[in-house]
Amino acid sequence: MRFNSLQFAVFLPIVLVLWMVLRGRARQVFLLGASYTFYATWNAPFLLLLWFTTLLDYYCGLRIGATDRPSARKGWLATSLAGNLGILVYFKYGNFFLENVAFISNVDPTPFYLDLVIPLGISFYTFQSMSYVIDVYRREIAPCRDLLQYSLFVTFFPHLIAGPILRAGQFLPQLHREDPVRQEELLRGIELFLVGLFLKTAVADNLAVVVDRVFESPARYSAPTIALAAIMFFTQVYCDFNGYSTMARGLGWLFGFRLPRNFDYPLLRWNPLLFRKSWHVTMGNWFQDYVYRPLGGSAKSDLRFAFNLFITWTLLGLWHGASWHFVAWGVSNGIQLAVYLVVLRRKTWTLPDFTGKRFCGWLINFSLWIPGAIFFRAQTMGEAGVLLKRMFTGAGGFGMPWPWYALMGLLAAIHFASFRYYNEDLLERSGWPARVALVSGMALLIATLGATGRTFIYFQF
Amino acid sequence: MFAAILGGPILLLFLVDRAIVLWRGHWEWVAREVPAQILDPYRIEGILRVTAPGRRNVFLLGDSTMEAGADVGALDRGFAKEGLRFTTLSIGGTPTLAFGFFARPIAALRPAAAVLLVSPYSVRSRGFLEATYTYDVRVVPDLFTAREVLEDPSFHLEGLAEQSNVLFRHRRALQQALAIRWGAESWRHLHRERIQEGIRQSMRRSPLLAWVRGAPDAYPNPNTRAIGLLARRLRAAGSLLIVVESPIHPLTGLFVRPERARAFHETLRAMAKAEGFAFVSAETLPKFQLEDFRDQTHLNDRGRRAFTESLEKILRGRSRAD
Repeated sequence: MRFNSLQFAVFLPIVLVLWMVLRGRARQVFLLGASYTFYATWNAPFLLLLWFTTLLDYYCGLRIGATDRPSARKGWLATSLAGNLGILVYFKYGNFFLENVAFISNVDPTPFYLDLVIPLGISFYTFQSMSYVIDVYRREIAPCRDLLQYSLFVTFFPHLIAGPILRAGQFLPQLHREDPVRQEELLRGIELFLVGLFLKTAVADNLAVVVDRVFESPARYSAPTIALAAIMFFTQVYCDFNGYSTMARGLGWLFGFRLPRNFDYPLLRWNPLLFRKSWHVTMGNWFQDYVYRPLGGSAKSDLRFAFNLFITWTLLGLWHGASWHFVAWGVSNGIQLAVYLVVLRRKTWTLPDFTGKRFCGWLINFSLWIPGAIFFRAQTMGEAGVLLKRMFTGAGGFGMPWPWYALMGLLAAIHFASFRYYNEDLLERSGWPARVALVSGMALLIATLGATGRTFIYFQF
Repeated sequence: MFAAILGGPILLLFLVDRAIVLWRGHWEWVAREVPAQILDPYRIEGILRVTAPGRRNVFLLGDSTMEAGADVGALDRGFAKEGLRFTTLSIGGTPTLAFGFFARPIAALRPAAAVLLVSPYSVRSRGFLEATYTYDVRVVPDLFTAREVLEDPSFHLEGLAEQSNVLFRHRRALQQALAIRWGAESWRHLHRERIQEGIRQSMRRSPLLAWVRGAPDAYPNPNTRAIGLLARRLRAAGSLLIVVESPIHPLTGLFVRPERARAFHETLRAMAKAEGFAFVSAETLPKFQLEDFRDQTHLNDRGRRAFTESLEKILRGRSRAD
């Protein structure tokens, strides 16, 4: 059941109304049941895996909280990490490792292939559940002693499939709220949901039509067209994933929960650090807290600092998928960031201020995305190589109708205006006739411009 | 206030729907300009909306095999004396169920006759809903059992939404038609896209292969009920229904096992008797050879001539019989 499906349009009002009617623990039991139902519509047997992860980390958290012996605490932490990473590696990376071992040892991997389907959202909920155990181990939060509430933290349907990745410390306290959802929360929820739906159905899905066309047969297109398609793909991923995250946040508001923001205008950022801090924020924070800082962060020598960044981003690339082209994408990001930050740390000069300084920074940053987008979109390293070669050596000429260029310009202008002036509270700020007009106009735009339903890109991770 | 926030979009969507649906010039353009096999459900809605009712109409219904097999111009010329005007209502890859959903508007035009092309594949009992792009909730009780509705509620839910608003029903087609009118898109390009998409889909799930390898079809099913419904509606309108078995490529025919073909023929013959329509099996059509086909499904010009002549004979035979 996708957020942009009719099934969800039936599911959501029913769940929301009953949620509002119910009180106390019954309300949480109902929301958990609804979340399991939501997940079961994809693949019911994988609920067992979700339950396993939930129970394992709930129990490990309790055991860690119950003892002060370092060895026991480490043991329970290791149990949790082994369980979570074991599941993740088996389902998501099993065949990838098999292929690579077979390649190195020159053996045909075909007879050994694991016939597996990657459980939906596994990368998100295992990371979220792991973060809870690590936080308990670090004594940053107390262990949750309520299985119902812990299950809701892992399973709450708006974030279950593709994040945002929550921290227990953010979410669990919100479950103690007793007062009803306020009007302004509902309004913000509606607004965010509609904005997310628009980004997904009207922008991302329409861009996908062109992107697919170019990336499926690059030989038919000129070098500038491939570059434009790479930019469009980058925009598509942004609108697709940001659309999902924004809808998830909107749904959170409807149920009275604050879910963290996952994107903060990354496409308009003017240096690599700002860009990466504003793109998939919750995942970036996760890797920062649980990989980068334990490795030593920025407190060591330049070489170690660069190495830490490199490793963190390589793993982040691998998190996106079991394929070398994702690793290459992570590596390229890691190198860019390491070079930028080490130079920033070492430099003794300051560039004088001039008009358009940020724009120049943005332009450099922007030009670095394009090869990254190609690595991200390609299915294999070979395909990425073909696309890059074609982009730099292909024929000139703009092989796409001009309205596409105009449309990209218009989208960029709207996005920039939104960055400068928009605070996601237009409905709250408006009087009721304007609210009705805004919601109606948005619904009409979605109904008119939307493309036929596609799965969200980040569901595959 | 929340009632207004919910009601506002509904009202606006309703007004836009009415504006498009009642815009006759738009549908005339659709009926005239949209080529077959590109935006078929949209094109058919256009044709049904602008065709004047009357006995001069004869509708040829089916999937792309009807589009490839029937030469409407030749039939118009052949029946010029009788004043008949032939129109093909075809949807690429569609099962027969689609024409059950169209039974009401087709019968409302009170045609002299409708010729429906069927094959064992087009009346299959599984995997046909995903290729059905039309819906009419008013005929659902005639086409589906309660169990069948509950087995796939998403299809009916989406169908209801599409029936309720033209933006949901033809959104993509409306966008593409607009792009055509603005000169940002061409029919030729859309046709090529459509073919490529068909190839991609076949590579992904190959529905024909899945059907051939699957268990025998169960009858009656929504596809066969659609034939019955169409027959009843047309009879009530004083129109004739002739169900013709689709010409089958000799190689494709080998994949359809004899027991499957036998069950199909027996079902259609029994239905023809019970529902009062004419059934013409492939045995009574000319024996189509490899050289009559342009691919494994569709007739070429030579096959098209032979099939059109057969249709003319069938129609003349039926009109004499009636």
